[in-house]
Amino acid sequence: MLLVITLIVFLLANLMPGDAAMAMFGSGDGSITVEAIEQQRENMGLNDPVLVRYFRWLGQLLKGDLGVSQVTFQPVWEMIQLRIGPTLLLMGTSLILSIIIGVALGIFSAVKQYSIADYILTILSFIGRSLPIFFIGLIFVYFFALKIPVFPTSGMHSMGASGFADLLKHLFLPCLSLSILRIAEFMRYSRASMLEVLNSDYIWTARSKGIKERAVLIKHALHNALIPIITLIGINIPVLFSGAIMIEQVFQWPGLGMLFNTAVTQRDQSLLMGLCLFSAIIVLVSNLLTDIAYALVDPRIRYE
Amino acid sequence: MTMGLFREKGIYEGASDAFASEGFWKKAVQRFFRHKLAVIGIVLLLIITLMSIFYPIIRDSSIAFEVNYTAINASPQSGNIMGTDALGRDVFMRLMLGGRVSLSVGLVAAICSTLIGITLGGIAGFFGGKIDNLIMRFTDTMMSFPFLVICMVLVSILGPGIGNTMLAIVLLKWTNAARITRGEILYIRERQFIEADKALGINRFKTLFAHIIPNALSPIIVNMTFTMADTIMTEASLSFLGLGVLLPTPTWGNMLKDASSLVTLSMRPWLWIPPGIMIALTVLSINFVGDGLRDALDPKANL
Amino acid sequence: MTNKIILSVKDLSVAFHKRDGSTYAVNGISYDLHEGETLGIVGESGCGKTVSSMALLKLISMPPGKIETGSAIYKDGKDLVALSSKELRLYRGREIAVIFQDPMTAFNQVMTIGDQMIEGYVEHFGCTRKDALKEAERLMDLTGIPAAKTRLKDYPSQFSGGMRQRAMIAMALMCKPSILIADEPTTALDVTIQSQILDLMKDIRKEFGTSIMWISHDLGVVAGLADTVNVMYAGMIVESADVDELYYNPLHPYTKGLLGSLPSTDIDNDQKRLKSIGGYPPILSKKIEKCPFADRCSEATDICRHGCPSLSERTGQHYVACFNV
Repeated sequence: MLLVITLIVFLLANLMPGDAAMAMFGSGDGSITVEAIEQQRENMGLNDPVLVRYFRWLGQLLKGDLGVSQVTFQPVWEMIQLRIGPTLLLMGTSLILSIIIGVALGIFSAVKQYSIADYILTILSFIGRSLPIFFIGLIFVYFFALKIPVFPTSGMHSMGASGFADLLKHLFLPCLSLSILRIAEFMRYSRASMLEVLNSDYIWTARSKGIKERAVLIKHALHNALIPIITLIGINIPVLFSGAIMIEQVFQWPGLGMLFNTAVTQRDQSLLMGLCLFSAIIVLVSNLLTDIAYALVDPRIRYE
Repeated sequence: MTMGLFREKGIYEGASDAFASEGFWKKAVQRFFRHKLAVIGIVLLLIITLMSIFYPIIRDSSIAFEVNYTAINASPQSGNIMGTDALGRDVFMRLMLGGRVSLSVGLVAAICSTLIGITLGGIAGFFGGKIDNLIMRFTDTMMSFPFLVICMVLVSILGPGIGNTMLAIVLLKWTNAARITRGEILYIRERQFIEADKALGINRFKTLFAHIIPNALSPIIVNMTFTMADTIMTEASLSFLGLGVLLPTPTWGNMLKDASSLVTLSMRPWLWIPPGIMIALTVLSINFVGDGLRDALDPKANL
Repeated sequence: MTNKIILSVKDLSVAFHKRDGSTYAVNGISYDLHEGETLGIVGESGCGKTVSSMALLKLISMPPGKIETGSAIYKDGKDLVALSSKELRLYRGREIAVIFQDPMTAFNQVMTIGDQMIEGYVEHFGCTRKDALKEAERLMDLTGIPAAKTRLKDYPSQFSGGMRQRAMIAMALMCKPSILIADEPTTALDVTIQSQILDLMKDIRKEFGTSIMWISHDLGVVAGLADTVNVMYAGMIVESADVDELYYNPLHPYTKGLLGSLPSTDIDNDQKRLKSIGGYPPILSKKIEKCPFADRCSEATDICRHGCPSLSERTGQHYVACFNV
């Protein structure tokens, strides 16, 4: 699986117009001749057949070497390492926030099915899922950073400032913008999941025993309703990464998303390959973690 | 022993092929129009579509392109309904033209990717074995990248523009439809009325068209609506990042790109709030319609 | 069985009011349950037998379900219909316990059998987990589950269907209820397991003296177990009698039809074809105004199509709702 992914990443990156040789010389400069570029290509081994280049790249990869950026000449792995922290911070806080809020609202909505609160929440979740994530970001910046300047518009730290409080202030808006969609999604799924559970036979069995309704909901319904939501967490991580690309652009958050944007616009092939690979690994790891989490909460799987 | 049991079985067998019957679609339409949100969605969608088709015809659409230095950054209080942008172009006209792009990208990409998905999923499900394995492996691999990541790479390979944006989305968005089609086929194949056809010696392609396609149709239609909503969102995101449809062609996404300048963002909200709201409204109404369709086409509702 | 009445249902009606219309599932049924009595409640699916029994403890979704005004359920002089769900909770499991139809779905899959068994016991008697588990172990032994002590720690998925139903029965017995509602507890099981469970129920009745309401669509099963039988149709009791009386002398055309559709074990009779009742039960979207069985009844006359007969006594203790008998 990983091998197929590396092949796809490599092929896609090599299909991009322009290559490293051209990138090195920049564009629009008349003094560079076609011969000079050709010479550079030869030197860099770019004229070798695709498969040869692929295996060379793969060989380096196995040694943990992602190559060197064609634009900044920094090692790609170093560039990625530098940006992982901010992205993981953004995605992590957003994931936790959306699970807590989304699941709580969804469960509440399900327990109060057909009530006005349920109806309003359902509509709100529809709206939440329909807002473009970058538009949410812009709206937040407009209202909470420009009109009422409570929060900073961009970046991760104020000039010269550091420390936790400053970071939190910078994190708040991007994290919230990134979370709105996920909250809506988690809410919808947990509501559906809880409703299904509440209609199950074993809920009536629990009630027939005369235990308190609260115990029925918490001990019996909630645990069962949460099991399918675990899968949802796994599905949401790649989506969250897509969202982070947009949000980091809007808030100039110095993470992998911004790096990816730059890589795409500058056609920095090795950086792009590294980032694509890295994002695919994030997806695979989150799938794996989901399976493990699933087995932990569901005894049916544990004993099979 | 009990009549109840036999009776239920009878009902089930009669309904097993309900999708193909006229009664099912009739009832589905009824259920759809009883769904309040779906009706709101379809009305909104109709208004947006009709306006973006006809407004540029009724009024001269050149006001969306021609630079007019006498009316730069005019606020909505002036002669233009929604004001003008930094080049004096009419925002409302650009909004309607952007609607044409968004809706056509959404519709075309959703239909094409669904067709590809049905074909590949159909082949995988019907023939099974190695072909199935190969196609599904490929689908899994495609799905192991965050969607926007691979989409951005593809667009930058293909280059910007409406056609290329559509193409990139189509090339990536068929996976859901393929999975659904394959799943439905595998499920329906096991059911009795297909077995009956086999026993009667009816050609398996005939079986495919007579039973499987009508049965798999409802989840695919529902998926297609949601794909359309997704696609509109994706096009807007790509254009916002400067990768999808480029200026001067106006789209909701690249109109929002203007707001990346702080001055525009804070001083001229009429330039970027309307396209944002248009995207939200369009996607919202499509989601409403999709939800209505899901309820209306639910096979269980008929049993 | 004694003459002491421990549960008295008077004019119970249950309806489900949904946006797209109402369903009148139970339409004014009355009956008494005596101490130690086994009462069979028989009818086709959808006749209201389950809903009417679950309504005793309000174990139905409300809304959309509603126990209509005028209904009363007397237990020890108290009207259960008038009780709040909080007060009613003290009866659930303690006074009246339920054995559900499908042991596959009636257990919570993510909780151990032991934990599920002791929940109600701990709640009602306020004892420790340890004491409760001891009691659970005793009852599992009694209901024939081997290695009870270790099995308490197992999850439902580790039990076979028959074992789960035994555990379900043990669970219902935890608080020594005076009434057991058994909602087709053998329907979902294999035939051999069915007879084992039936034997177990007979033993339990002997041992605990519990009154049992046995809900079933299977007249054959009820014949071997019940003292009295209520036949239900379209949310009404159409015939009620002592079990022998009902089987040898059925009066209502519907009961006759049900008995006629039973396969006979009599060898001389194998020439006779099984009879089935033509037509379908009515859809209960309106209140009942005429005899609900009239459309399927071969003996129906004009009067049946203009009024609804009420349950009245014919010979001693034999009640029928029919104009023509």
